[in-house]
Amino acid sequence: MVSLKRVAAVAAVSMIGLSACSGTDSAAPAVPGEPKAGDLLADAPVAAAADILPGSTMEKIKKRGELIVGGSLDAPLLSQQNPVSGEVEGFDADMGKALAKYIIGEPKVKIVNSASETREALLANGTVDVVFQTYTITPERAEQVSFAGPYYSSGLSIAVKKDTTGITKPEDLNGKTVIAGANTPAIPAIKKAAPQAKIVTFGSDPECVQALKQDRGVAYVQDETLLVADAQKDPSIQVVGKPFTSDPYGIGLKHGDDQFKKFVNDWLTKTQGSGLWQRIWKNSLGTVVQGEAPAPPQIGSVPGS
Amino acid sequence: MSAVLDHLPEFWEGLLVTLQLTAASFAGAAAVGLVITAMRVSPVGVLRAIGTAYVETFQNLPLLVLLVLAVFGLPEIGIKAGLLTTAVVVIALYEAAYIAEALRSGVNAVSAGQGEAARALGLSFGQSLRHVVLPQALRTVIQPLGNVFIALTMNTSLAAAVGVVDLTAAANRVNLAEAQPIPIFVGAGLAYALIAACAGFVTGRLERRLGMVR
Repeated sequence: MVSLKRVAAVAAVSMIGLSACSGTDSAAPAVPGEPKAGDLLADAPVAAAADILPGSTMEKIKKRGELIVGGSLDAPLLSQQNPVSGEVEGFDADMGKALAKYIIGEPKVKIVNSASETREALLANGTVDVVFQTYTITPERAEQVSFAGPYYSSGLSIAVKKDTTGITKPEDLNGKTVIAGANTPAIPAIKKAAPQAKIVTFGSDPECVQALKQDRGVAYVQDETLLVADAQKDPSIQVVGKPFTSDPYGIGLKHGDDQFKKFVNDWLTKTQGSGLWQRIWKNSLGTVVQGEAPAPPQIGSVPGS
Repeated sequence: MSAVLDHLPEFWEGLLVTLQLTAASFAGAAAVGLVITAMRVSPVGVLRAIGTAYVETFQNLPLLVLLVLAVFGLPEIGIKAGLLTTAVVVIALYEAAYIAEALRSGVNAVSAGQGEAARALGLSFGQSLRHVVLPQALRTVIQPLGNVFIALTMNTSLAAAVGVVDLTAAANRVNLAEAQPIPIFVGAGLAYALIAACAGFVTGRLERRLGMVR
Protein backbone atom coordinates (compact mmCIF):
# COMPACT_ATOMS: atom_id res chain seq x y z
CA MET A 1 0.00 0.00 0.00
CA VAL A 2 3.01 2.18 0.51
CA SER A 3 3.54 1.72 -3.20
CA LEU A 4 0.02 3.01 -3.95
CA LYS A 5 0.75 6.05 -1.84
CA ARG A 6 4.00 6.48 -3.71
CA VAL A 7 2.23 6.17 -7.06
CA ALA A 8 -0.27 8.79 -5.92
CA ALA A 9 2.53 11.06 -4.79
CA VAL A 10 4.41 10.64 -8.06
CA ALA A 11 1.25 11.34 -10.01
CA ALA A 12 0.53 14.41 -7.93
CA VAL A 13 4.07 15.70 -8.34
CA SER A 14 4.01 15.14 -12.09
CA MET A 15 0.72 17.01 -12.32
CA ILE A 16 2.30 19.92 -10.46
CA GLY A 17 5.26 19.68 -12.81
CA LEU A 18 2.94 19.71 -15.81
CA SER A 19 1.02 22.74 -14.65
CA ALA A 20 4.26 24.51 -13.78
CA CYS A 21 5.53 23.88 -17.31
CA SER A 22 2.37 25.13 -18.94
CA GLY A 23 2.59 28.14 -16.62
CA THR A 24 5.99 29.10 -18.02
CA ASP A 25 4.76 28.48 -21.55
CA SER A 26 1.87 30.88 -21.26
CA ALA A 27 4.11 33.49 -19.67
CA ALA A 28 6.44 33.22 -22.66
CA PRO A 29 4.85 35.99 -24.78
CA ALA A 30 5.92 38.47 -22.10
CA VAL A 31 9.28 39.00 -23.80
CA PRO A 32 11.60 41.56 -22.22
CA GLY A 33 11.30 44.96 -23.84
CA GLU A 34 7.60 44.59 -24.53
CA PRO A 35 5.61 47.44 -23.05
CA LYS A 36 4.23 46.61 -19.60
CA ALA A 37 0.70 47.60 -18.64
CA GLY A 38 2.11 50.51 -16.62
CA ASP A 39 3.80 52.09 -19.65
CA LEU A 40 0.78 51.24 -21.75
CA LEU A 41 -1.49 53.29 -19.52
CA ALA A 42 0.96 56.17 -18.97
CA ASP A 43 -0.90 58.43 -21.40
CA ALA A 44 -4.35 56.89 -20.89
CA PRO A 45 -7.12 59.49 -20.68
CA VAL A 46 -8.36 60.74 -17.29
CA ALA A 47 -11.87 62.12 -16.88
CA ALA A 48 -12.33 65.84 -16.31
CA ALA A 49 -13.51 66.68 -12.79
CA ALA A 50 -16.77 67.94 -14.26
CA ASP A 51 -17.57 64.49 -15.64
CA ILE A 52 -17.52 62.92 -12.17
CA LEU A 53 -21.04 63.98 -11.23
CA PRO A 54 -21.78 64.39 -7.51
CA GLY A 55 -23.61 61.39 -6.04
CA SER A 56 -22.83 59.22 -9.03
CA THR A 57 -21.26 55.75 -9.17
CA MET A 58 -18.11 57.35 -10.60
CA GLU A 59 -17.77 59.63 -7.59
CA LYS A 60 -18.21 56.70 -5.22
CA ILE A 61 -15.42 54.79 -7.01
CA LYS A 62 -13.13 57.81 -7.04
CA LYS A 63 -13.64 58.36 -3.29
CA ARG A 64 -12.87 54.70 -2.65
CA GLY A 65 -9.68 55.03 -4.73
CA GLU A 66 -10.11 51.63 -6.31
CA LEU A 67 -12.25 50.17 -9.09
CA ILE A 68 -13.69 46.77 -8.23
CA VAL A 69 -13.80 44.64 -11.37
CA GLY A 70 -15.52 41.28 -11.75
CA GLY A 71 -13.21 39.20 -13.93
CA SER A 72 -11.33 35.97 -14.46
CA LEU A 73 -7.89 35.04 -13.24
CA ASP A 74 -7.45 32.08 -15.59
CA ALA A 75 -8.31 33.28 -19.10
CA PRO A 76 -5.12 33.38 -21.20
CA LEU A 77 -4.59 36.62 -23.17
CA LEU A 78 -7.75 38.10 -21.66
CA SER A 79 -7.47 38.11 -17.90
CA GLN A 80 -4.88 35.81 -16.41
CA GLN A 81 -2.93 36.15 -13.20
CA ASN A 82 0.80 35.98 -13.78
CA PRO A 83 1.99 33.44 -11.18
CA VAL A 84 5.37 35.19 -10.86
CA SER A 85 4.36 38.84 -10.48
CA GLY A 86 0.81 38.33 -9.21
CA GLU A 87 -0.36 40.91 -11.78
CA VAL A 88 -3.47 40.13 -13.81
CA GLU A 89 -2.62 40.48 -17.50
CA GLY A 90 -4.56 40.48 -20.73
CA PHE A 91 -7.02 42.44 -22.79
CA ASP A 92 -9.92 42.49 -20.31
CA ALA A 93 -7.58 43.16 -17.38
CA ASP A 94 -5.88 46.12 -19.12
CA MET A 95 -9.23 47.57 -20.18
CA GLY A 96 -10.28 47.46 -16.51
CA LYS A 97 -7.07 49.24 -15.49
CA ALA A 98 -7.62 51.88 -18.18
CA LEU A 99 -11.15 52.54 -16.88
CA ALA A 100 -9.80 52.80 -13.33
CA LYS A 101 -7.25 55.34 -14.50
CA TYR A 102 -10.01 57.32 -16.25
CA ILE A 103 -12.08 57.54 -13.08
CA ILE A 104 -9.47 57.69 -10.32
CA GLY A 105 -6.38 58.98 -12.12
CA GLU A 106 -4.42 55.82 -11.30
CA PRO A 107 -4.87 52.31 -12.72
CA LYS A 108 -5.90 50.87 -9.35
CA VAL A 109 -8.20 47.88 -9.68
CA LYS A 110 -9.22 45.03 -7.47
CA ILE A 111 -10.28 41.99 -9.47
CA VAL A 112 -12.96 39.89 -7.86
CA ASN A 113 -12.84 36.44 -9.41
CA SER A 114 -16.37 36.14 -10.68
CA ALA A 115 -17.89 33.23 -12.54
CA SER A 116 -20.64 33.10 -15.11
CA GLU A 117 -22.97 31.89 -12.35
CA THR A 118 -22.39 34.92 -10.15
CA ARG A 119 -21.84 37.92 -12.42
CA GLU A 120 -25.41 39.19 -12.44
CA ALA A 121 -25.75 38.83 -8.68
CA LEU A 122 -22.39 40.51 -8.00
CA LEU A 123 -23.43 43.54 -10.09
CA ALA A 124 -26.93 43.69 -8.62
CA ASN A 125 -25.77 43.68 -5.00
CA GLY A 126 -22.91 46.09 -5.63
CA THR A 127 -20.00 43.73 -4.82
CA VAL A 128 -18.33 44.78 -8.08
CA ASP A 129 -18.56 48.07 -10.00
CA VAL A 130 -18.04 46.64 -13.48
CA VAL A 131 -17.57 43.24 -15.13
CA PHE A 132 -14.88 42.70 -17.77
CA GLN A 133 -15.14 38.98 -18.48
CA THR A 134 -15.87 38.05 -22.11
CA TYR A 135 -19.42 38.97 -21.17
CA THR A 136 -21.42 38.47 -24.36
CA ILE A 137 -24.27 40.95 -24.69
CA THR A 138 -27.63 39.18 -25.01
CA PRO A 139 -31.17 40.54 -24.64
CA GLU A 140 -31.84 38.03 -21.80
CA ARG A 141 -28.84 39.24 -19.83
CA ALA A 142 -29.71 42.88 -20.57
CA GLU A 143 -32.82 42.42 -18.43
CA GLN A 144 -30.59 41.73 -15.43
CA VAL A 145 -27.64 44.07 -16.02
CA SER A 146 -26.77 47.09 -18.15
CA PHE A 147 -24.13 46.75 -20.83
CA ALA A 148 -21.72 49.46 -21.96
CA GLY A 149 -20.01 48.81 -25.26
CA PRO A 150 -19.61 46.37 -27.01
CA TYR A 151 -15.88 46.88 -26.52
CA TYR A 152 -14.73 43.82 -28.44
CA SER A 153 -16.22 41.37 -30.90
CA SER A 154 -15.10 37.80 -31.12
CA GLY A 155 -16.30 34.54 -32.61
CA LEU A 156 -16.31 30.84 -31.87
CA SER A 157 -14.17 28.46 -33.91
CA ILE A 158 -13.58 24.71 -34.02
CA ALA A 159 -10.31 23.00 -33.16
CA VAL A 160 -9.54 19.34 -33.90
CA LYS A 161 -6.57 17.01 -33.60
CA LYS A 162 -4.19 17.29 -36.56
CA ASP A 163 -5.16 14.04 -38.32
CA THR A 164 -8.95 14.53 -38.02
CA THR A 165 -10.88 14.67 -41.28
CA GLY A 166 -14.49 15.46 -42.09
CA ILE A 167 -14.95 18.40 -39.72
CA THR A 168 -14.77 21.77 -41.40
CA LYS A 169 -17.98 23.53 -40.37
CA PRO A 170 -20.30 23.50 -37.33
CA GLU A 171 -22.90 21.27 -39.04
CA ASP A 172 -20.27 18.53 -39.23
CA LEU A 173 -20.44 18.25 -35.45
CA ASN A 174 -23.92 16.67 -35.53
CA GLY A 175 -23.89 13.25 -33.88
CA LYS A 176 -20.35 13.72 -32.55
CA THR A 177 -18.99 14.44 -29.09
CA VAL A 178 -17.84 18.02 -28.78
CA ILE A 179 -15.76 19.57 -26.01
CA ALA A 180 -16.55 23.05 -24.72
CA GLY A 181 -15.54 25.18 -21.78
CA ALA A 182 -18.04 25.04 -18.93
CA ASN A 183 -20.05 28.27 -18.74
CA THR A 184 -18.91 29.54 -22.14
CA PRO A 185 -21.17 30.79 -24.93
CA ALA A 186 -19.96 27.78 -26.93
CA ILE A 187 -22.57 25.52 -25.30
CA PRO A 188 -25.70 27.32 -26.61
CA ALA A 189 -23.91 28.02 -29.92
CA ILE A 190 -23.18 24.31 -30.52
CA LYS A 191 -26.77 23.40 -29.58
CA LYS A 192 -27.99 25.87 -32.18
CA ALA A 193 -25.58 24.97 -35.01
CA ALA A 194 -25.49 21.20 -34.42
CA PRO A 195 -28.47 20.08 -32.32
CA GLN A 196 -27.46 16.40 -32.43
CA ALA A 197 -23.98 16.99 -31.02
CA LYS A 198 -23.20 15.65 -27.56
CA ILE A 199 -21.45 18.32 -25.48
CA VAL A 200 -18.96 17.57 -22.71
CA THR A 201 -17.63 20.47 -20.69
CA PHE A 202 -14.49 21.05 -18.65
CA GLY A 203 -13.65 23.94 -16.37
CA SER A 204 -10.63 25.50 -18.02
CA ASP A 205 -9.04 25.87 -21.43
CA PRO A 206 -6.01 23.64 -20.66
CA GLU A 207 -8.38 20.88 -19.47
CA CYS A 208 -10.36 21.13 -22.70
CA VAL A 209 -7.18 20.86 -24.80
CA GLN A 210 -6.06 17.84 -22.76
CA ALA A 211 -9.50 16.25 -23.22
CA LEU A 212 -9.32 16.82 -27.00
CA LYS A 213 -5.89 15.19 -27.14
CA GLN A 214 -7.20 12.23 -25.09
CA ASP A 215 -10.14 11.77 -27.51
CA ARG A 216 -12.87 12.70 -25.01
CA GLY A 217 -14.40 14.46 -28.00
CA VAL A 218 -13.57 14.94 -31.68
CA ALA A 219 -13.65 18.73 -31.64
CA TYR A 220 -13.24 21.63 -29.24
CA VAL A 221 -15.32 24.77 -29.70
CA GLN A 222 -13.96 27.95 -28.12
CA ASP A 223 -13.27 31.59 -28.81
CA GLU A 224 -11.08 31.79 -31.92
CA THR A 225 -8.38 33.85 -30.23
CA LEU A 226 -7.90 31.26 -27.50
CA LEU A 227 -7.84 28.42 -30.03
CA VAL A 228 -5.21 30.16 -32.14
CA ALA A 229 -3.09 30.56 -29.02
CA ASP A 230 -3.63 26.88 -28.10
CA ALA A 231 -2.73 25.65 -31.59
CA GLN A 232 0.39 27.78 -31.53
CA LYS A 233 1.51 26.27 -28.23
CA ASP A 234 0.56 22.72 -29.18
CA PRO A 235 1.27 21.55 -32.75
CA SER A 236 -0.91 18.42 -32.37
CA ILE A 237 -4.13 20.45 -32.67
CA GLN A 238 -5.35 22.74 -35.41
CA VAL A 239 -8.11 25.30 -35.95
CA VAL A 240 -10.45 24.54 -38.86
CA GLY A 241 -12.63 26.95 -40.81
CA LYS A 242 -13.63 30.49 -39.92
CA PRO A 243 -15.45 31.65 -36.76
CA PHE A 244 -19.15 30.68 -37.03
CA THR A 245 -20.56 33.14 -34.49
CA SER A 246 -20.11 36.76 -33.63
CA ASP A 247 -20.00 37.48 -29.91
CA PRO A 248 -20.08 41.13 -28.88
CA TYR A 249 -18.47 41.50 -25.44
CA GLY A 250 -19.95 44.18 -23.20
CA ILE A 251 -18.92 45.85 -19.97
CA GLY A 252 -21.38 44.69 -17.33
CA LEU A 253 -22.82 47.45 -15.14
CA LYS A 254 -25.53 47.58 -12.49
CA HIS A 255 -28.95 47.42 -14.14
CA GLY A 256 -30.54 50.82 -14.69
CA ASP A 257 -27.45 52.94 -13.90
CA ASP A 258 -27.76 54.97 -17.13
CA GLN A 259 -25.51 57.78 -15.88
CA PHE A 260 -22.61 55.37 -15.34
CA LYS A 261 -23.34 53.58 -18.63
CA LYS A 262 -23.06 56.85 -20.58
CA PHE A 263 -19.87 57.70 -18.69
CA VAL A 264 -18.30 54.31 -19.55
CA ASN A 265 -19.39 54.57 -23.19
CA ASP A 266 -17.79 58.05 -23.39
CA TRP A 267 -14.57 56.60 -21.98
CA LEU A 268 -14.70 53.77 -24.51
CA THR A 269 -15.08 56.24 -27.38
CA LYS A 270 -12.07 58.17 -26.09
CA THR A 271 -9.82 55.08 -25.69
CA GLN A 272 -10.71 53.94 -29.19
CA GLY A 273 -10.16 57.39 -30.67
CA SER A 274 -6.78 57.87 -28.98
CA GLY A 275 -5.44 54.51 -30.15
CA LEU A 276 -5.17 53.16 -26.58
CA TRP A 277 -7.71 50.39 -27.30
CA GLN A 278 -5.60 49.29 -30.27
CA ARG A 279 -2.39 49.32 -28.19
CA ILE A 280 -4.02 47.23 -25.45
CA TRP A 281 -5.15 44.74 -28.11
CA LYS A 282 -1.66 44.60 -29.63
CA ASN A 283 -0.16 43.95 -26.19
CA SER A 284 -2.48 41.01 -25.41
CA LEU A 285 -4.53 39.32 -28.13
CA GLY A 286 -2.24 40.81 -30.78
CA THR A 287 0.65 38.68 -29.52
CA VAL A 288 -0.92 35.56 -31.06
CA VAL A 289 -3.10 36.98 -33.85
CA GLN A 290 -1.28 38.19 -36.95
CA GLY A 291 -1.74 41.69 -38.31
CA GLU A 292 -3.02 45.01 -37.05
CA ALA A 293 -5.72 45.54 -34.42
CA PRO A 294 -9.23 45.04 -35.84
CA ALA A 295 -11.71 47.89 -35.99
CA PRO A 296 -13.50 48.07 -32.62
CA PRO A 297 -17.27 47.35 -32.80
CA GLN A 298 -19.74 50.23 -32.91
CA ILE A 299 -20.84 51.19 -29.37
CA GLY A 300 -24.50 50.39 -28.80
CA SER A 301 -24.73 48.43 -32.05
CA VAL A 302 -26.16 45.17 -30.67
CA PRO A 303 -29.54 44.42 -29.05
CA GLY A 304 -29.12 44.68 -25.30
CA SER A 305 -26.31 47.25 -25.32
CA MET B 1 -39.18 31.27 -11.71
CA SER B 2 -39.86 30.80 -15.43
CA ALA B 3 -36.09 30.37 -15.83
CA VAL B 4 -36.49 27.06 -13.98
CA LEU B 5 -39.85 26.00 -15.39
CA ASP B 6 -38.82 26.58 -19.03
CA HIS B 7 -35.87 24.23 -18.61
CA LEU B 8 -37.42 21.38 -16.66
CA PRO B 9 -36.28 18.74 -19.23
CA GLU B 10 -32.63 19.80 -18.79
CA PHE B 11 -32.97 19.76 -14.99
CA TRP B 12 -34.66 16.36 -15.15
CA GLU B 13 -31.86 14.86 -17.26
CA GLY B 14 -29.29 16.31 -14.88
CA LEU B 15 -31.19 14.95 -11.89
CA LEU B 16 -31.27 11.47 -13.46
CA VAL B 17 -27.50 11.53 -13.94
CA THR B 18 -27.05 12.68 -10.32
CA LEU B 19 -29.27 9.82 -9.11
CA GLN B 20 -27.32 7.33 -11.25
CA LEU B 21 -24.04 8.64 -9.87
CA THR B 22 -25.37 8.48 -6.32
CA ALA B 23 -26.87 5.01 -6.54
CA ALA B 24 -24.01 3.37 -8.43
CA SER B 25 -21.25 4.92 -6.38
CA PHE B 26 -23.01 4.21 -3.06
CA ALA B 27 -23.44 0.55 -4.03
CA GLY B 28 -19.76 0.36 -4.98
CA ALA B 29 -18.69 2.22 -1.85
CA ALA B 30 -20.74 -0.11 0.37
CA ALA B 31 -19.17 -3.22 -1.18
CA VAL B 32 -15.59 -1.90 -1.01
CA GLY B 33 -16.19 -0.39 2.45
CA LEU B 34 -17.38 -3.74 3.79
CA VAL B 35 -14.25 -5.48 2.51
CA ILE B 36 -12.02 -2.79 4.01
CA THR B 37 -13.78 -3.09 7.37
CA ALA B 38 -13.33 -6.86 7.35
CA MET B 39 -9.64 -6.31 6.66
CA ARG B 40 -9.29 -3.75 9.44
CA VAL B 41 -10.77 -6.05 12.09
CA SER B 42 -9.15 -9.23 10.77
CA PRO B 43 -6.58 -11.13 12.80
CA VAL B 44 -4.02 -10.90 9.97
CA GLY B 45 -1.61 -8.01 10.47
CA VAL B 46 -0.89 -7.39 6.78
CA LEU B 47 -4.60 -7.11 5.95
CA ARG B 48 -5.11 -4.68 8.85
CA ALA B 49 -2.23 -2.56 7.57
CA ILE B 50 -3.63 -2.51 4.02
CA GLY B 51 -7.07 -1.52 5.32
CA THR B 52 -5.61 1.29 7.42
CA ALA B 53 -3.49 2.55 4.52
CA TYR B 54 -6.53 2.56 2.22
CA VAL B 55 -8.64 4.59 4.63
CA GLU B 56 -5.83 7.04 5.36
CA THR B 57 -5.04 7.51 1.66
CA PHE B 58 -8.57 8.24 0.54
CA GLN B 59 -9.58 10.31 3.57
CA ASN B 60 -6.55 12.53 3.17
CA LEU B 61 -6.93 13.38 -0.52
CA PRO B 62 -9.58 15.80 -1.81
CA LEU B 63 -12.15 14.13 -4.06
CA LEU B 64 -11.70 16.75 -6.79
CA VAL B 65 -7.97 15.96 -6.99
CA LEU B 66 -8.77 12.26 -7.37
CA LEU B 67 -11.36 12.97 -10.06
CA VAL B 68 -9.03 15.20 -12.08
CA LEU B 69 -6.18 12.69 -11.74
CA ALA B 70 -8.40 9.82 -12.88
CA VAL B 71 -9.98 11.68 -15.80
CA PHE B 72 -6.83 13.34 -17.18
CA GLY B 73 -4.04 11.23 -15.69
CA LEU B 74 -5.12 7.64 -16.30
CA PRO B 75 -5.52 8.01 -20.12
CA GLU B 76 -1.83 9.03 -20.17
CA ILE B 77 -0.94 5.51 -19.01
CA GLY B 78 -3.47 3.89 -21.31
CA ILE B 79 -6.42 3.42 -18.95
CA LYS B 80 -9.46 5.17 -20.36
CA ALA B 81 -13.12 4.75 -19.46
CA GLY B 82 -16.17 6.91 -20.03
CA LEU B 83 -16.53 10.05 -17.93
CA LEU B 84 -19.56 8.78 -15.97
CA THR B 85 -17.90 5.40 -15.30
CA THR B 86 -14.69 7.07 -14.17
CA ALA B 87 -16.61 9.39 -11.84
CA VAL B 88 -18.62 6.50 -10.35
CA VAL B 89 -15.50 4.42 -9.67
CA VAL B 90 -13.58 7.33 -8.13
CA ILE B 91 -16.47 8.46 -5.92
CA ALA B 92 -17.11 4.84 -4.85
CA LEU B 93 -13.46 4.26 -3.90
CA TYR B 94 -13.34 7.61 -2.07
CA GLU B 95 -16.55 7.16 -0.10
CA ALA B 96 -15.64 3.54 0.70
CA ALA B 97 -13.06 4.91 3.14
CA TYR B 98 -15.81 6.77 5.02
CA ILE B 99 -18.18 3.81 4.95
CA ALA B 100 -15.37 1.59 6.26
CA GLU B 101 -14.80 3.96 9.17
CA ALA B 102 -18.53 4.07 10.00
CA LEU B 103 -18.75 0.25 9.85
CA ARG B 104 -15.63 -0.16 11.97
CA SER B 105 -17.14 1.99 14.70
CA GLY B 106 -20.16 -0.33 14.55
CA VAL B 107 -17.97 -3.42 14.82
CA ASN B 108 -16.17 -1.88 17.79
CA ALA B 109 -19.55 -1.28 19.43
CA VAL B 110 -20.24 -5.03 19.44
CA SER B 111 -18.76 -6.37 22.65
CA ALA B 112 -15.65 -8.49 22.25
CA GLY B 113 -17.35 -11.37 24.05
CA GLN B 114 -19.73 -11.84 21.10
CA GLY B 115 -16.90 -12.49 18.68
CA GLU B 116 -15.06 -14.66 21.19
CA ALA B 117 -18.19 -16.71 21.86
CA ALA B 118 -18.72 -17.17 18.12
CA ARG B 119 -15.15 -18.38 17.66
CA ALA B 120 -15.51 -20.65 20.74
CA LEU B 121 -18.55 -22.24 19.09
CA GLY B 122 -16.33 -23.14 16.15
CA LEU B 123 -17.35 -20.47 13.62
CA SER B 124 -14.55 -19.31 11.32
CA PHE B 125 -13.55 -15.63 11.28
CA GLY B 126 -15.65 -15.04 8.17
CA GLN B 127 -18.63 -16.85 9.63
CA SER B 128 -18.50 -15.05 12.96
CA LEU B 129 -18.25 -11.74 11.10
CA ARG B 130 -21.15 -12.59 8.82
CA HIS B 131 -23.55 -14.21 11.29
CA VAL B 132 -22.73 -12.59 14.61
CA VAL B 133 -20.74 -9.37 14.46
CA LEU B 134 -21.84 -7.53 11.29
CA PRO B 135 -25.63 -7.91 11.77
CA GLN B 136 -25.28 -6.23 15.16
CA ALA B 137 -22.72 -3.73 13.90
CA LEU B 138 -24.86 -2.59 10.96
CA ARG B 139 -27.82 -1.87 13.21
CA THR B 140 -25.81 0.59 15.28
CA VAL B 141 -24.48 2.56 12.32
CA ILE B 142 -27.65 3.24 10.32
CA GLN B 143 -27.50 6.99 10.96
CA PRO B 144 -23.75 7.32 10.24
CA LEU B 145 -24.25 5.42 6.97
CA GLY B 146 -27.16 7.74 6.13
CA ASN B 147 -24.81 10.68 6.70
CA VAL B 148 -22.23 9.15 4.38
CA PHE B 149 -24.99 8.68 1.78
CA ILE B 150 -26.00 12.35 2.03
CA ALA B 151 -22.37 13.50 1.85
CA LEU B 152 -21.89 11.27 -1.19
CA THR B 153 -24.94 12.81 -2.88
CA MET B 154 -23.49 16.28 -2.39
CA ASN B 155 -20.05 15.12 -3.52
CA THR B 156 -21.42 13.87 -6.84
CA SER B 157 -21.70 17.53 -7.87
CA LEU B 158 -17.89 17.55 -8.19
CA ALA B 159 -18.29 15.27 -11.21
CA ALA B 160 -19.60 18.36 -13.03
CA ALA B 161 -16.00 19.65 -13.00
CA VAL B 162 -14.80 16.71 -15.07
CA GLY B 163 -17.40 16.81 -17.80
CA VAL B 164 -20.29 14.77 -16.34
CA VAL B 165 -23.55 16.63 -16.99
CA ASP B 166 -25.19 16.10 -13.61
CA LEU B 167 -27.69 18.37 -11.88
CA THR B 168 -25.01 20.98 -11.08
CA ALA B 169 -23.70 21.07 -14.65
CA ALA B 170 -27.26 21.25 -15.98
CA ALA B 171 -27.99 24.21 -13.69
CA ASN B 172 -24.81 25.91 -14.92
CA ARG B 173 -25.87 25.46 -18.54
CA VAL B 174 -29.39 26.75 -17.94
CA ASN B 175 -27.97 29.76 -16.14
CA LEU B 176 -25.68 30.44 -19.07
CA ALA B 177 -28.72 30.93 -21.28
CA GLU B 178 -31.05 32.58 -18.76
CA ALA B 179 -28.67 34.61 -16.56
CA GLN B 180 -30.90 34.09 -13.52
CA PRO B 181 -28.52 32.45 -11.04
CA ILE B 182 -30.63 32.81 -7.91
CA PRO B 183 -33.81 30.94 -8.97
CA ILE B 184 -31.78 28.39 -10.96
CA PHE B 185 -29.37 27.46 -8.19
CA VAL B 186 -32.08 27.62 -5.54
CA GLY B 187 -34.01 25.16 -7.74
CA ALA B 188 -31.02 22.85 -8.07
CA GLY B 189 -30.34 23.18 -4.34
CA LEU B 190 -33.92 22.17 -3.56
CA ALA B 191 -33.50 19.03 -5.66
CA TYR B 192 -30.37 18.08 -3.68
CA ALA B 193 -32.16 18.92 -0.44
CA LEU B 194 -35.03 16.65 -1.50
CA ILE B 195 -32.65 13.71 -2.08
CA ALA B 196 -31.03 14.36 1.31
CA ALA B 197 -34.41 14.63 3.02
CA CYS B 198 -35.51 11.30 1.50
CA ALA B 199 -32.30 9.69 2.71
CA GLY B 200 -32.84 11.15 6.18
CA PHE B 201 -36.43 9.91 6.26
CA VAL B 202 -35.46 6.39 5.16
CA THR B 203 -32.59 6.10 7.66
CA GLY B 204 -34.88 7.42 10.41
CA ARG B 205 -37.45 4.73 9.64
CA LEU B 206 -34.79 2.04 9.36
CA GLU B 207 -33.28 3.04 12.65
CA ARG B 208 -36.61 2.87 14.46
CA ARG B 209 -37.29 -0.56 12.99
CA LEU B 210 -33.84 -2.09 13.23
CA GLY B 211 -31.98 -0.02 15.82
CA MET B 212 -30.95 -1.86 18.95
CA VAL B 213 -31.69 -0.64 22.42
CA ARG B 214 -28.83 -1.60 24.66
